[in-house]
Amino acid sequence: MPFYVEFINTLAVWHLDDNKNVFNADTVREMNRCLDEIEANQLITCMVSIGYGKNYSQGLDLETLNKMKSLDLQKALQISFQLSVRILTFPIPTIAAINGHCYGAGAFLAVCHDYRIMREDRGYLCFPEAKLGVHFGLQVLIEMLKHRVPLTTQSIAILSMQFTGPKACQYGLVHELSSMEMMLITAQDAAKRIIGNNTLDRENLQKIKRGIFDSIVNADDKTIQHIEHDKLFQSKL
Amino acid sequence: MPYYVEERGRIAILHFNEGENRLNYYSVKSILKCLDEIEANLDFTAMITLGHDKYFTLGLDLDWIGENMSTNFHLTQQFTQDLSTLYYRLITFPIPTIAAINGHAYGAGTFIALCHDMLIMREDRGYFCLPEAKLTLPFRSEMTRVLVRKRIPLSIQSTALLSFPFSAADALKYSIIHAHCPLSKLLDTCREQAERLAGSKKGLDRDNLKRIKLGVFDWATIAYSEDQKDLSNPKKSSFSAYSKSKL
Repeated sequence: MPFYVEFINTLAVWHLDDNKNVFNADTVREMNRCLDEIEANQLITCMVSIGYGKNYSQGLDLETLNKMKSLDLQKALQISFQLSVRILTFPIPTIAAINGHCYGAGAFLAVCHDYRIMREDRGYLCFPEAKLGVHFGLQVLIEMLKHRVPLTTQSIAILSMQFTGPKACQYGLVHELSSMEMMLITAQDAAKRIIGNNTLDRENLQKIKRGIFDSIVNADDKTIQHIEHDKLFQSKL
Repeated sequence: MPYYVEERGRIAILHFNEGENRLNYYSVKSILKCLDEIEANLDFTAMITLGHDKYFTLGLDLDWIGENMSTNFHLTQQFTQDLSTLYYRLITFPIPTIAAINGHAYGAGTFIALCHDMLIMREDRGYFCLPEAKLTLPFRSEMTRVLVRKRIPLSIQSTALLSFPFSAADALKYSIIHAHCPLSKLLDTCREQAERLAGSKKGLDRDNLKRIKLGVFDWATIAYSEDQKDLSNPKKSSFSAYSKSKL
C-alpha cells in the first residue's frame, strides 16, 4: 500500500510512499481513505504526514490527467485540491514533515497543515505554475496563497522560486528545519510543544478552523478561468 | 532624463536619479513612460528599480502639491490618478520586479518599493518609513491603505503606522524586505536574484504571470477601481489635509 497510516500511541503518521506521490483520481481516493482511518481512531491527538526518499509530493499527476476527458479532468483537479482543504480543516492538529521535493499541489497540501517541518539539506518547496506557463485557475488555490503564505513571501513564491529548507524557513513557509533522520522525532517534539496537555475537542477544533479559514473553505468551486489544459500537460516538471 | 531605463542583458534597470526622487505629476509620468518602454521590450525578463545616492525616493513632492493644489487643481487630481496607476502597474507587472532600496524610502517611496515582488535594501544606511502619522498626513488613496494591509506583515503593521523608521536590519527582522547587503553589492545581488526569478533565458511567460498576479493580488484591482472612482470626486481628491501637515 503506497499510502498508509501508522499509529504510534496518540500520534498518527500518514506515510506517502508512492515514489513521486502525485495526485490523480485514484491516489487522492487512497489518501482520503488514510485520513478516514485517522479520523476514525478516537485515540489520536495529532497527525504527521511524511513522504519517502526524494519526494514529499511532486503535485499533480500530469501524465495520467493528460489522458482524461475535460469533465473528468475538472473533477480530478477539484478533488485533488479539496484534499488540501480537508487537511486545512482537519479535526486533529496536523504537521507536515517535508522530507523532500514539495511542488505545486504538494506545496498546497503542505501549507494547509497546521505546522511544517522541512528537511534542512535537500529538496525544494516550489509553486511551479509560473515557470510552467500555467496559472492558478481555481479560486480555492488563490485563497490558499493569500492566506497560507506570509504576505512578504507571496510575491516571490508565485514567481516559482525554489525554496530550500533554510530559505523556506526564513520566508515563513515552514516553521522548523530538521535533519532527515530526526524528522519524526522533531515532529513529535513539535506536537508536544504545541498541544502540550490540552485536550482539543475535535468537533470544536474543526469548527474553529472552518471559521478562520472560511475564505478558503467557501472558495467558489467553479474554475475562475479556463485552465489551459494543453499547456499544463505539455509542460515538463 | 532623471528617470530612465538601462539595459543590462535581459534585465531592465529603472533608474530614479533626481535628488530626493520626489513624486509629482512630471516624475510619475516619466516613470510610467519607462514602464511602457520596459513592457514593450520583450527581451526583458526582469526589472530592477534603483535610486541614487542617499535616496530611493522620499515620496510625495509636497512643495509641488502645495503650489498647485488650488491653482492647478486638475493637474494635482491627474497626478493622484497617475500615482495610483503607477502602483497598480508595478504590482501587476508581467515580469519579476526587484526594488533595490539604495537609500531612504519614505511615504509614497515605501509604497513604490512595496509594489515590487522582491525588496533588497542597503544594509548600513537609509530608513524605510511611513511618515504620515508624524507629519499629520492621511493615507489618501485606498491603494496605499491596502498596500499596508497586504504588503506589510500583520505583526508589524501597527508599528509601521506609527511612523517607526525601519533600518534595513529592522526591516529584514520584521520581514518587510527580503534581504539586505552592502551598497557596493546591491546591484549585483539584485541582478543575481533577478536572473534566478526570471527562471530561464526566455523568462517566465508574461501573459501567464500577469494572470497569476491579478489572481493572487485581486485586492489591488479592487483598490485601484475604488481610487479611480474616488479621485474623480473633487472632494475626495483634494489635498486640503496637506495644509495641516507639520512640514
